[in-house]
Amino acid sequence: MLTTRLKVQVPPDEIDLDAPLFGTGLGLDSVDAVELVVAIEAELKVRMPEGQVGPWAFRTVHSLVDYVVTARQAGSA
Amino acid sequence: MTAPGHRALREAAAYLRHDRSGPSVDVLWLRGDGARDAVLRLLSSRLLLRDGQAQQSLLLRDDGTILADVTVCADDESYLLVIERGPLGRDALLQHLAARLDGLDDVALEDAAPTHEVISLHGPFAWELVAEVLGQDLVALPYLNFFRMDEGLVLRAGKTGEFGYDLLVRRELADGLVTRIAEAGAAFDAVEIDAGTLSAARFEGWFFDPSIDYPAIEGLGPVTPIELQLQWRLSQREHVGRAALLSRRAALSERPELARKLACVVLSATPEDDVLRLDGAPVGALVRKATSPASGLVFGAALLRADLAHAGLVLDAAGARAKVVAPPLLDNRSLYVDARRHAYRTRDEIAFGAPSRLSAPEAP
Repeated sequence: MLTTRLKVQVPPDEIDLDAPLFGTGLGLDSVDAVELVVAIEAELKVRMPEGQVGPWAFRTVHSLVDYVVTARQAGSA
Repeated sequence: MTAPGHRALREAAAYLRHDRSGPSVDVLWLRGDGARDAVLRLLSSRLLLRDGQAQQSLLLRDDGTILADVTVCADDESYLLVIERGPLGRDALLQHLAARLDGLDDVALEDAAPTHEVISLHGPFAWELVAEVLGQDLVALPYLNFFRMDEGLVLRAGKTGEFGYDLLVRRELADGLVTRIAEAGAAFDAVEIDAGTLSAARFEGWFFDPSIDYPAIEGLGPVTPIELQLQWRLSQREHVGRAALLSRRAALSERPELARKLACVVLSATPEDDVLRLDGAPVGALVRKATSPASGLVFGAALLRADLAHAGLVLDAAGARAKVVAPPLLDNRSLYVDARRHAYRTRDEIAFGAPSRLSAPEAP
């Protein structure tokens, strides 16, 4: 998703889980954040309502994966 | 009970004079027509900087291991390097740089230590204190940008998850500036902190700390940015240490079972030793342990088998359990503070998150 939809210019096997998503990490910006939410909701079927997702979720690839996995588990419980 | 210094850093503002209580910070300028070629050779990261911008990078040794943590600033035609070298001696750092610059034309390395001191401010309301002391224009200073001022330079580059600023101040003005910070800081409940407080905050915020001594990986060699999840600070161009990193990647593609990643684990208790196991087999080791001042959780940094370094996995430790988590350990208040709408005196109106979203695993 990061390399195909958001065009992150890093080979997938060099994207570390704990890499920051924004700024000088993977270089995403606020426009990418919107695209990321749209992509996650469409492809992973996880709702990310504005104001209900803590800002921590967008810090790193790992925190975002953790949010998605937890949300999917909660949804299937 | 949280120490006053840590509480100030996490809830208000805190300041530190690095000359008096580390961590060791060196500030060097690279000047001359060859300065850009020099930073491209010395530093590992992509360097896409306009004047006034900064970027996190690394100084690597020839074997690909990390010599120091660097924030590089594009200062007109020159480059300013803010370097945290951990336990490395200052002379060793300068010798490393001089040796790697050998053969480059028209570049001069200028040490700021004789003329400048570094004072740092951290906290969810550090931006407001900085603006109060140095000017309201600084409220709008973006992350990883710097601003020149009469006293020297102010760089916004936090390493705790909160708003953070490094002030590079002319030595003859430093005492006066600290007095002004302390006086204005009274309205922010600001506290002067020491290196230990900053180190603890940095660790629970999961920022790279060059002072940690990582053990070599059996069958692979010393730890590099690949294992430390710092590949986002590596570029594809030639730089010091790049050949060793390419060799490491080649070795890992041949023997992926040797791959290790630095992972954050929350512990049910402080374990009796550092070995982490899965189904009885060793899969990694803790390299640093602490209790998070903000969350109260016992946690650690572990070099784990790379395929296991994912949030949710629970491992066995000696007398404890270790759950892999996505750091940081806390939900930083700075993420909820908006400099356009908020102020320290009205902080009670801000809906902060819980101190942490994480929890400890059950004891064995």
